[in-house]
Amino acid sequence: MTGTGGAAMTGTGGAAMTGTGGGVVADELGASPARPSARERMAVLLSRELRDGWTFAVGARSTLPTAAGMLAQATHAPSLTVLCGGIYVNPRRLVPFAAGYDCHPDSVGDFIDVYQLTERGVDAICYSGMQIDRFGNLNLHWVDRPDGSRFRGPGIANTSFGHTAGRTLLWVERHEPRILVPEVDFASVVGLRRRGRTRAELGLPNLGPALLVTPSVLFEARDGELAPRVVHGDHDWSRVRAATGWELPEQSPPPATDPTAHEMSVLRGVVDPMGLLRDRDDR
Amino acid sequence: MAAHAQRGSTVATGGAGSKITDADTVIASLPGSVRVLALGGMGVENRACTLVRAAVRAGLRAEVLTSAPVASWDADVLLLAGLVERLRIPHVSLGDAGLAPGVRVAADAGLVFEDVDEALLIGALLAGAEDTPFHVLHKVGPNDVIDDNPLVGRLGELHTTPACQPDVVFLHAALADAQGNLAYLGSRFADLLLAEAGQRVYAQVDAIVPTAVIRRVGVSIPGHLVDGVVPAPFGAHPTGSSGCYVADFDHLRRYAGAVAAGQGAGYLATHCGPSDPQGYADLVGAPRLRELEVEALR
Repeated sequence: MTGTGGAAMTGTGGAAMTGTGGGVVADELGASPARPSARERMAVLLSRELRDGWTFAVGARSTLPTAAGMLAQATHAPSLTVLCGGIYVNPRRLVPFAAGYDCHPDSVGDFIDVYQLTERGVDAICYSGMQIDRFGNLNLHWVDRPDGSRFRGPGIANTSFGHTAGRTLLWVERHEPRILVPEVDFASVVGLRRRGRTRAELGLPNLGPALLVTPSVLFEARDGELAPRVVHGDHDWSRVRAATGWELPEQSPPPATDPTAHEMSVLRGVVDPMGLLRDRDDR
Repeated sequence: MAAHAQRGSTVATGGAGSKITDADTVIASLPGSVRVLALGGMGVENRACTLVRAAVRAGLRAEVLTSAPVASWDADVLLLAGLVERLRIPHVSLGDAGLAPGVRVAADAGLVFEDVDEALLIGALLAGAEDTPFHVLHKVGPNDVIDDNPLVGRLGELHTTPACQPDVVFLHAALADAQGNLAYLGSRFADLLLAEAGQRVYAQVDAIVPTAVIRRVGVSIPGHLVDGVVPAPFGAHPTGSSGCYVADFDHLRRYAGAVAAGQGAGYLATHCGPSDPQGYADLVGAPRLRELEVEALR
């Protein structure tokens, strides 16, 4: 499932729209307060969704979901299995290109293993996209520009996990209308509904997109589309609505529970000591 | 695949019984244009960059360029150099260094994209290795990659993918012996499958070692599948070699910047110019290579 990870267009930012992050928490040593970055908050939110005993696959360029998996393993899900790029099993080190051998995996597979895993399915797959629409369809192939030209994306290695994994967890590192669009130009992986047809009508047996995490909002699948469950970080709901390519309710959803001191301590001290998820001026 | 009935000729320069050769000799042994060229490794690891640099120098053309599912600098410079007609790789990027700029240059110049995903690609190689006409896929699609894709066939209710037997395969491994037995220090990715499906298989390696060492480390790809081995210390740079050195993302960012600034041709001339691995290593500089090596050892 390599290459399913962070779309190049999503970049590394994410805090621009939401200010400087969520609540201030004290670390466990009582040292200086740690203000979570948007990416750290997203990793915490994703980690809380991962269950003990699951097999969780992430793409090659998936530092944030890898961190979420490692955080879950170190907190509430010690028997979670994390597959980086399908090949590197249970990484012990978060590195810039998550699916590299320098992630110090417990074990290593090859593409025959990935092929078989894909066919038999895993519990959850994490995907990103340069476009994601209200139904959770995602696009990593191409986008038509207003001037008529076509922007070519990086493509996606593995589409089959979209219907063989138990559920799909989506993330984007920027909450922008050019990414969160009403309808994708190309469905690299099909979401909850495509061209008016539900997953059941398309013959897709699994849940599909269960949630979408952005730097501002955690969406969940509800009534066949992605609906906001909670907001996180400093936010202005009217700006969130304006930055989303489909209609959101006027009323802001409730805020997410801030990352706890324990979560932040483990995230920064154990999972991400290099500070890859922190804001660049806070490393 | 040296043991294959349609095997290519060994191009050894290392003496009788040896498969040791060099990159320029490998490229010179090939026709000026190959039908299907396949690249091993994954993402920014174990890419056969020394062989690719030689291909760029010689202007080796490929009707179809394919790879293990995620490719990076290696595919991108072949695209930037205008040497590829059709791209059959699911994902090409520079990893943490962002989008692959050569893809965009080639797209503007009329590159044909043959959209595939991992299942289509690996299924095709499985069929190629088994010498069967196609591989059955019963769990692909629906999505816009699979629907109406000319590379996807039907067999009743099932989908199929036609066999792929690459004419030429370029691999990178950490170690080899003179007989072409390859040892990897991390994953062998899709490289064994590529070697089994391919017609002519060439591997660049960070070091040639005695067969006894390969036996101790463990054979990842047996030498009977390999036509030639190219000694290339740090030869996967600017990508990494699993267990030996990590990818040079600073270099990859400079590469992307050079292409964005319209200096792609100059980059290719400079960085694909040196014909021996030491010349390329000197270009990168020993201190930088040491940094990349140390990072892999952490």
